[in-house]
Amino acid sequence: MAALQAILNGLLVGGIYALIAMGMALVFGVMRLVNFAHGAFLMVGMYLAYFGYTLFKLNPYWGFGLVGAALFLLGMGVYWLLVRRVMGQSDFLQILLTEGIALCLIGGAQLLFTGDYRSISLPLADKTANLGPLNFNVAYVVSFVIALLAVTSMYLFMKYTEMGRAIRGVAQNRLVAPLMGIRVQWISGVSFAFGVACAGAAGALLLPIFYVNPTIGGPYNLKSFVIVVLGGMGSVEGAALGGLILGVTEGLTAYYWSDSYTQVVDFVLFLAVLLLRPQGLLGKKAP
Amino acid sequence: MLTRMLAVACLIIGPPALAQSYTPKVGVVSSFTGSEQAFGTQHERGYTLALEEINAAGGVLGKPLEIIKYDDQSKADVAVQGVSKLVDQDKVPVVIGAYASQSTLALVPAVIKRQVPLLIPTATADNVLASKSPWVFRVCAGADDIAHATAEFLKTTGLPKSIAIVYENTNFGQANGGSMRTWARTYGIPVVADEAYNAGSPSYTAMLQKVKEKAPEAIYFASYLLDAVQLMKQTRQVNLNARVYTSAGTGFALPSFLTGAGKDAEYTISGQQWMRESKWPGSEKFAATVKARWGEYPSYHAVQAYVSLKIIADAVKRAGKWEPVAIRDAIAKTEMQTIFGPIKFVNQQNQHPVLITQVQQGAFQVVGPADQATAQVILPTPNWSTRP
Amino acid sequence: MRRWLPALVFFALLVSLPLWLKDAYLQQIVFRVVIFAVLGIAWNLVGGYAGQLSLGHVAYFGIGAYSVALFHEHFELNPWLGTVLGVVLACLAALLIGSLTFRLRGPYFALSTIAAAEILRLLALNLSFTHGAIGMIAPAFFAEPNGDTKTYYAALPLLLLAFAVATYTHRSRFGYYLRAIRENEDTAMAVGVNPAVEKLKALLLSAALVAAAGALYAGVFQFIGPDSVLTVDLSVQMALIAMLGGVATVWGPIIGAVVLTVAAEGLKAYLERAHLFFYGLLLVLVVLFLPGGLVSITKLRWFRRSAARAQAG
Repeated sequence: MAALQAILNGLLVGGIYALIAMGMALVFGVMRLVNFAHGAFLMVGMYLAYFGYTLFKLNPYWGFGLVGAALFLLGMGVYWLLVRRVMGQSDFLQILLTEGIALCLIGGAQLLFTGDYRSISLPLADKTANLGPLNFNVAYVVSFVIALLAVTSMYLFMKYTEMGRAIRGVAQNRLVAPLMGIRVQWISGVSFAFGVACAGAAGALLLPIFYVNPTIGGPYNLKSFVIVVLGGMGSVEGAALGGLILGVTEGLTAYYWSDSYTQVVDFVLFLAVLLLRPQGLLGKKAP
Repeated sequence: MLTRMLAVACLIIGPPALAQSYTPKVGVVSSFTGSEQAFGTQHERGYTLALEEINAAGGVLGKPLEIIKYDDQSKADVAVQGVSKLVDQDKVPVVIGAYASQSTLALVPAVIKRQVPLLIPTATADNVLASKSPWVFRVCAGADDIAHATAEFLKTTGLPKSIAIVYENTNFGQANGGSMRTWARTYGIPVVADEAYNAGSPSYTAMLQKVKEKAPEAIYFASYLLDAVQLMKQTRQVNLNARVYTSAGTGFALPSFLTGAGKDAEYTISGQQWMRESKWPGSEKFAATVKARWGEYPSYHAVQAYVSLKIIADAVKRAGKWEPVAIRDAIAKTEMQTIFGPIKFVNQQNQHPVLITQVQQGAFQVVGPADQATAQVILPTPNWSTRP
Repeated sequence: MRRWLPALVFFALLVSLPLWLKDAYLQQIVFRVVIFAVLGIAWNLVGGYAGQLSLGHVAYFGIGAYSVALFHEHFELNPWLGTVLGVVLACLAALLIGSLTFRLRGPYFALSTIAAAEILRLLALNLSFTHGAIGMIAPAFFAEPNGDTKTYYAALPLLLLAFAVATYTHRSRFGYYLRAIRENEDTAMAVGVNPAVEKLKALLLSAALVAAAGALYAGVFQFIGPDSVLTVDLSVQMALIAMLGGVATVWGPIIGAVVLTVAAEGLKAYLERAHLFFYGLLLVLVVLFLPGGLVSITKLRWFRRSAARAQAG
């Protein structure tokens, strides 16, 4: 019974993880780029949501779309100014560039907002509900539902829209895609921006149940790596699945062993997947 | 040729043999930027007020007192560099600092090496005094004292039949958690759960669920602010009902804990270093001055900084000179009444009385020790289901 | 002989330093420059020459630092012995981590090195024999007085050794193999290079140097904890030092270490809260405009053009 509770909590947390990691999966799938700044963009989204609420009374549960849109623009800007220049160059340079961007974002946040922790207090975030003997936090359920909707709409978008098909085309074969009339640069930019937008929107949803400070994105960055590899690099549905699995694994680890070892388990799982099944659960090809 | 070689050899072997002349200033290390900035700011306010008051009263040894600040950026390795800058370069004969236990611990070997006294205002981890060096002094009560005071208080209200210790996986948490582990054993309270958690997660429900199943009568938390808020809210969520919730101060002792956790903070007990309403002379006035000037009441960190600078000023006056050994010996003999209570060092540790507070009707009330109490403790804590 | 002149001058400068730089605070900064130079050179073997972006090198640094402290605490061994043991342990760890991670390519490799180092940090944080988050006090290598200056003198041979290893790598067939692997691992295999073996060799050399540096660092700063000697930040710093100065060059990491440490000190004094931002900015600028590092400035077109103009005019 208690294990069931741990699993339920794990799933709910996993929904949020999935939302956060989805963006990274998309970016890697289309651009073969591991965005080390993903966690930093999450943090930016959280700050936007924070100020949106404290200055404009914008509830993040309604406003996460706006935050996502703002980050989409930011992502586009970052792509055109910086990321575009290292596409096609060595992984080395790409990784170091995104790491540099991450440090700029975090450092910038420290400059602007200081290292203080900030949080908002929404009544929804404190609401608890019960399902028989199991308890859960309502805000988590809302986020979980949103995550579900997000993954579904992402899937439908990829499958049935023109742009979705173009994105999949670039993901499948970057060299051949231009021959099909796809503007690869543009698609790459959109994908990157979209990935960043996902991170930001997820941040907005994370804020009410958590708090923000410039370095808050770090652990989520690492978790996203684990999730994306677990689910299969480049697979958005895989990231969703990976997020849930990670959430449940962490919950069970905290329950049966100790909360302080959850991060170790994350990384061990990560290495295990990389070494034993590198294409992940739903991934298309092995690295 | 030989004399030149000898001269070079002397230069290499150099310094402590030659007389050192020190700058008549106090070195201060704290976290003015970085993740602990909020506390560095509190320190800064305390130092500023103390500095102004000391200089308004004529300064030290006939001259205005000056301090040199060094920002450790909330990092231990930067803190160590601070000692080098302050002592090797700026030549201060005494250092106060830092904020976090980790940074403070990093300062210890550095000051011992350079033979200058260090006054610790805020770090509660007991390993900062583990070296037993005569150069290191601490003003605040340590983790051990807080755990001891809490256990003693529990004795007066009826020793719990079991206790769960929940602490964050940091220097602060591990130190305070470990202290309670020891004292619980001494007082014969079985520890039924010993949970270290990763600070900075949004969800501790799995861990709290585990604690709930051990049905502890008492819980001892060691957390910083935002986790403290999360913990209480989630304790309610998983419906973990303990008879008494205690904590090692810090997160549970800050005014923002009351606003953050709201009703869930009610009845929690905390070891406190200082309360605005405490009966120590000048406390209320200090708090009012800080509020008037900076718009919010001071946390105990500000008080610790304030009183530390006052102690040093007093010590230098008694030493009669800006010289490390003299200052060190003067600090050891300190006897003062301050807004932080009586100051007296025994084995490098100030015998600071720990206040036990409980949140009642949304405010902190001192419930122990008896001579400082402003209210009676309310126990047992009612079940979550019966609470608003 | 002229080839060795810059190195000679450089080392002479370093050796004589405590004679003309009396300020102990500045001496300590130079010590850090030396340590970071060693770290940069060591990282460069794997990251620069072999092209394997390792972001988990801090693991070996931490092993070196913790070894000195742990062997002193539990077995009362002097720090010199602790250092030797630390180097051995780091090499064993390198063998393990290398054999696991070198199978992976590109970003997968980088991520796996991060995972390995993080596991080590988390173990240090959670296990009681490393004193968890509370950290440990490491013993000094030399007793006072002037223990720090003497430890500085102990660091110089390490830098010399690193320099020698880098020079050897740069000019030898070993370095040639590494560069071949960097350019195209599959092709290298096709012409008879054994990437697994060569990469592992580079990693072993690298890990040994990094661990020794970690041990000396522990001996001077004396406080070590999971958040000061096992962080991802430190790994990134090693990469940045090599990149800034010039990957796959001998002098690059040394120049990178000097510039970065001096810049960090300067920034600290004037731009307290902005240092992380400028760090990131530096990384971005180097990647975009100077991927060859500072040593490649002479190769830039505008530099050559202006130099030519200066010569002509």
